[in-house]
Amino acid sequence: MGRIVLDHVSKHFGELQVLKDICLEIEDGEFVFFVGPSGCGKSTLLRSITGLEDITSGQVLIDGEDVSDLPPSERGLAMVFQSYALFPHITVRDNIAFGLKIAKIPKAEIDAKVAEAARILSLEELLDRKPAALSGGQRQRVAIGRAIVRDPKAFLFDEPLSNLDAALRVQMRVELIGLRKSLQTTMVYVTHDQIEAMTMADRIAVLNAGQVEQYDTPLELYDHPENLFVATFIGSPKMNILDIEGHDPSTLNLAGGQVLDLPGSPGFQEQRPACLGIRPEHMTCSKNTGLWEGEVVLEEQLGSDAFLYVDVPGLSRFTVRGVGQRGIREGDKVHVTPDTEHCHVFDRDGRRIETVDRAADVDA
Amino acid sequence: MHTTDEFAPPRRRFVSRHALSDRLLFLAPAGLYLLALTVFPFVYSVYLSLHRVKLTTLHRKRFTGLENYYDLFTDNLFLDALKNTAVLTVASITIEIILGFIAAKVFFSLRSSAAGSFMRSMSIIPMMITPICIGLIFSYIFNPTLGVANYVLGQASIEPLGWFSDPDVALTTIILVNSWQWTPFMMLLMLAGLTSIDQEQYEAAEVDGAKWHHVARWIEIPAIRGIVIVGVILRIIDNLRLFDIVYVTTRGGPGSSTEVVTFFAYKQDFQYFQVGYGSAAAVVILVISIIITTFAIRHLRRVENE
Repeated sequence: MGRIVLDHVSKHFGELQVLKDICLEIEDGEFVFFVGPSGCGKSTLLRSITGLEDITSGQVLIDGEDVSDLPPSERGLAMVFQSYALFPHITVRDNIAFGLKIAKIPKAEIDAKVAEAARILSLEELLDRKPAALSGGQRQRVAIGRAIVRDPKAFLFDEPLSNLDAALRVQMRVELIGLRKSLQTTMVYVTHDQIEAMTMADRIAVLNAGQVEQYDTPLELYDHPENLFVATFIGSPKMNILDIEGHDPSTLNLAGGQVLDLPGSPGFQEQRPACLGIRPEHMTCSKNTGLWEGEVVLEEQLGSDAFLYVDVPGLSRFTVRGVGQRGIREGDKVHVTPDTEHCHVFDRDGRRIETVDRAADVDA
Repeated sequence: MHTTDEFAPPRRRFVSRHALSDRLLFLAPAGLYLLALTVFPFVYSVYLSLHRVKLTTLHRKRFTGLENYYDLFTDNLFLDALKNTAVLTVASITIEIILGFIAAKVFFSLRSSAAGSFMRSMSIIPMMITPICIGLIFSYIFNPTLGVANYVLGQASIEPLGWFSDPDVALTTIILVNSWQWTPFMMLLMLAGLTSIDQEQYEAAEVDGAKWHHVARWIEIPAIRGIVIVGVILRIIDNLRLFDIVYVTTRGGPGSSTEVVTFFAYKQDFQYFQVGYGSAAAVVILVISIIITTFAIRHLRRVENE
């Protein structure tokens, strides 16, 4: 079992409040990610769960038991650190066995557990080496091995892949997904890498300035961001954001005298729309026809996709994603058209305003 | 640009031939200095040690071969001096390592506080004082009638001690003074070693439930071992050369209880003017230093390669 509940958790460093009344529930066996910009408190939150940071108020519950005042070693958790935190002077075997040895577990049992962990992580050949003789990925696996043998209620990962090169990171991501499937243990994972979060997570908590902005499945975060922060944080390249200067029942008045017909907007009476968000893939770019006319100022060609940065005079600079786009070059005059079915509208406080389709979805 | 490239190889050879003599020229002052103040005295010591000769009549020397060395190793005073130096070295360094480690842990835990860094700076002052002054300071502190040490003992109703005058106590007092002065050195080395440990290693150990002694055994001691060996090598050499404190406080006495090898050599050379005999003692000290440091450095290499 490994159900973790954060109940109104706050944390102060002197005057500075780094965690603000955080409430989260992590179900047993769930793979939850904390993402957010640097300094948002995601690592502090993870360390509060581990017990490496004391919380100022609130409770951390593991399987219903309040562990807020327990030392890290008594919480039944295992942590994998960004620097791997391997002990450089002892062998891989001793590194993995460290927690068991100091717990005075019988040697035969330790050997069996280390062998099992080494098998799961393909470390058998490396057990008698020192950490310095391993590659980054292998060290990471040893760090995970050290966590596995303790048979924890949950694994906590603090940016475990950020010291690896890009290719190795992709490989370790796949390995982690496999590991997670075979262990079926709760995992909490801090990262600043959206791709890691989107590809591996059951649920993602997006943190900003010590608060949880949204806690939901990856696709829900992407498709229905609850606020402007989540909308712009999740997704690469970023969502295009336009200021809304006024509105009629179904028309938005944008900067530069531009208007956009947006079908179905029942919430507009109570909440004044202030921002319009359109993801780059929900805009089309054409040389001949379209809603807004502009000029391509930059083309980022990835082969599979092309990101076009289009300046529309008086309105904004848009990022447009063209799948397999080849024909358009820097300096070309183009027309861009937003897909009004997939627009996001936010009020002045950055909160999402549901348009009619979504409201209907929720009702159903 | 192009022409320089074409002529680059011959020019470089030309320069390097010059550079060799240039380099030698630059090395010459240091080389001469070394020759005059280290190599020559050493060779001359070895030469003198093979003769029976007095400082006052250097021109009248008689070649006696290894007789001085034979005499040395049958001279009880020299053997006492060797034993005292060994005891002093082992005891001082042991105390310095143990106290230094504890102090390093304390300063490590206080490393982010201003008070901690202030105390750390204060604590290394003993290292900066000339040993002669240390000797003087402690001869006042341990003065049998006027010294503060016996006053404190008296307050605690303990019989006053003859710190430097009791043959059973004098060497211990020298060891205390010596390790008082040099514990900060070990502390600094170990503190540097501790500071180089990745903080996440401590946290990983904490999550695993490690107690302080696990952390010391598995993380801290392995991490500082190499640097401590360097410290021990330096301190062995220091202790073999220890002279000033003994000179100021006890002059080797009472009896031969604090006689150390350097003081023995000094006495033979400059009090009894037996420069042949004294030189032999100096050569023995040097050979011992070389043997010990060779072993220590070999051990250090092995630790580093692990």
